[in-house]
Amino acid sequence: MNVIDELNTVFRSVFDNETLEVGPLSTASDVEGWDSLSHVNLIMAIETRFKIRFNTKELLTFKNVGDLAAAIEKHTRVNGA
Amino acid sequence: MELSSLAFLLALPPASLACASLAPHHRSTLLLVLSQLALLAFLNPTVFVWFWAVTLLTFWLGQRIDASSEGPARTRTLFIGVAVNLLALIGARCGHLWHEGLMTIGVSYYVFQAISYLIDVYLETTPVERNLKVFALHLCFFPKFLQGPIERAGRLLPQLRVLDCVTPAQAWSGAQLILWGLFKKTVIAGRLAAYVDQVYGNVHNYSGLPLCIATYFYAIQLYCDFSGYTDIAIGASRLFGLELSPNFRDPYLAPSIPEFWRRWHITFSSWLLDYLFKPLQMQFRAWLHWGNALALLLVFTVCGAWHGFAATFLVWGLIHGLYMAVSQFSTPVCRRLYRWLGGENRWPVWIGRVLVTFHLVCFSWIFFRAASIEDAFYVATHLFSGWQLNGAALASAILPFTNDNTAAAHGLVAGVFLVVTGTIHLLSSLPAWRKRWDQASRMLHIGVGAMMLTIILLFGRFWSGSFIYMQF
Repeated sequence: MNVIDELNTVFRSVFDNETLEVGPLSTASDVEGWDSLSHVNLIMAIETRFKIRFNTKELLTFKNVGDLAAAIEKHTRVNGA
Repeated sequence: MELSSLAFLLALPPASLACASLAPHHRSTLLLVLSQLALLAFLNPTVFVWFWAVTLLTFWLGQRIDASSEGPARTRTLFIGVAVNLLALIGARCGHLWHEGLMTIGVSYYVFQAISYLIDVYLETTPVERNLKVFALHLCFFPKFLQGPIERAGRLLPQLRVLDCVTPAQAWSGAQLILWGLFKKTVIAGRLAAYVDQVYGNVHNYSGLPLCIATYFYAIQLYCDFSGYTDIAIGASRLFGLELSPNFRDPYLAPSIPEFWRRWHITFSSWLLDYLFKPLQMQFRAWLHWGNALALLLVFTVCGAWHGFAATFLVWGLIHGLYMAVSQFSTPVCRRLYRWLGGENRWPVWIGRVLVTFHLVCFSWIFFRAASIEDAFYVATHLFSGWQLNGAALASAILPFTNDNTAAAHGLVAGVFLVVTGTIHLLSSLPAWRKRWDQASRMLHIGVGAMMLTIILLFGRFWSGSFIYMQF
């Protein structure tokens, strides 16, 4: 399962929507309920699922799901090395 | 000099024309920078010195951040830049408390823009600006200098780099916005201010109906005053070919408090969201909703303190922090309730939500407007005492407009123009009507503009005082 597929599983669970589908270009405006307040639930769920911890700079510069996936891949590479 | 002053409005067309005739852009940029700086120096020499200190330091630190690679030195430079800007802001505020002459108008607006520029360069979300002339203009462009909108570097700097001739369509829409802003400020806000100032200046002389009316009026006065300023600022900028960010989007039609803050003073609330709330939220993320609630309480306390170091502003900020924190936990319950009532967008449910939100906001404005915390508590506890719905009570409730037999006429004029403004607002928020107006003939636009100018001259209150947000 690639990162985007795994992210889809996390998104469906956090936003309680089994039909939700996100891609690298998806943004907060494409997902119902993804606002600045629910964002923290999403970040926590992602960090738990991938066993990583984003740094502040990453957290403040994510613009879309693609940015999230790239940061996850970077952290999992470092953890795996 | 204010944006509604005759001197500013008369200076706008020749300044815009001079700029347009000096294109290509490097000459018009220079002219604009020099004229804005001359204006600042003329307004207040302290403002001028303060502005240059902040500008040069921020410009230099921006270069340093950009030149240094990822690491502690880069972060340290950012912290120094943010700290120095905050000290400049606190110094200006405290200086004003010590000595009236030290007041540095607009300081919080350009300091906020300077801080956001440094953070954006640090986060690499905006490129560093290497042209001091363009950077200084970004901070000191006069229409937004006194009370915003708080522009982000990523939005305004690219426009300033390619400053070009203003198009007739831009100039025309700018002129219309200036008229609309003047109407809201002088006809609505100015007239309501007379009532609000009378009641809130002597709260212990009133109870019940006049306190309720004054509180509703203040909500409308504040909106018309501040959004009127923003319209003039955006309109004046269009005369120079620049598009500033919108600051209001029908805030009193918001169906929840979080939505209200997405529609009220948008550039300030999004600044707080991006540069204060998000970092705090992420620091507290292990506590999930409780972390969000704590971050919201802290952010809105800062928001209150930004308006002034007074108990009234702090309590106002805390009230909104509490509203937002509670909405963290109440949202799922409310959603279930709306579903049970037939859906949150069903119009009776929507109207109910808008009315509840509006009244929560009005309650908070009591603390924002009152002269002291004692006055605020008096108003909050006497809104419903001594209510009488008879002719004599209603007649005496109109009196605070002028305290003489012209009060009824003032009340009537205010009422008529409130209905007119509300109707225009509602129609302009409907896309079909908006399109109709945009496609209407030029003659109709000119006719409505001339009528509005006549109304401003006949019914405007030009002596009603400064724009409220200029003091912040």
